[in-house]
Amino acid sequence: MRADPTFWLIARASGLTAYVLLTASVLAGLVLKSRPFRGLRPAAVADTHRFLALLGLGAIALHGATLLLDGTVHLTPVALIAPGASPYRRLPVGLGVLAAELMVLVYVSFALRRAIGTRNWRRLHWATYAIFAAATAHGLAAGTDTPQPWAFAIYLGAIGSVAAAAAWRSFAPPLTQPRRTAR
Amino acid sequence: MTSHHGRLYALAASILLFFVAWAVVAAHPWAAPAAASSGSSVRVVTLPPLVITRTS
Repeated sequence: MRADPTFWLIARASGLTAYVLLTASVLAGLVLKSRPFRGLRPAAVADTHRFLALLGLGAIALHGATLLLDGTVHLTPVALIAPGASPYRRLPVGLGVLAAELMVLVYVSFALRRAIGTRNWRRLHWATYAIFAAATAHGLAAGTDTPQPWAFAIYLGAIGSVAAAAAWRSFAPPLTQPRRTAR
Repeated sequence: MTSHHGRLYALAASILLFFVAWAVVAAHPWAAPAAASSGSSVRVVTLPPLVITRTS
């Protein structure tokens, strides 16, 4: 008799959903910084950027929980916390765990912005690029759907869109800051 | 500032995305025609008709 594949299917679907949400959050952050669309309110974009990251974390939690409940790759709770502890594709799974933990750290830093200072918060936010790179490597090397053309197209589209938005941010003229008045 | 519209769209889009991903992963909609065409039952149906000739 075949085992019920529901958890395995949810694990794969939630992994892809988490990756797309992470990509969308990164893109929203880049849009917030470079502002290519003048009609969008920065406060609304910032809130959506943060909310997309939260939704991505929810999808990651579902991904991890269903991988634990499913017996296909035999993951243990320790493997979901400690990078490199997984018996299945050690390095790519470790990169995924690391990316998820860094994402939690960056998300928590939103609330600690005043406590840690804006400069340190910005420095920590640079980790987002490493998170995106690690998540991409995790998906490409550990994802069982990667050989499918549609899955490969998702990864290619995500890499292309983030690269294009990052290039726009780098090469676009800097935003004019409001002039400070002497008191 | 909380953007209720932005959050609502993001939540709706992510739920839709999850279920579409589930359907795609489970059903392999693009792989189905290729698998069906290689099936033996389909091959029998698509064989050219035999020509029966009288020998006696």
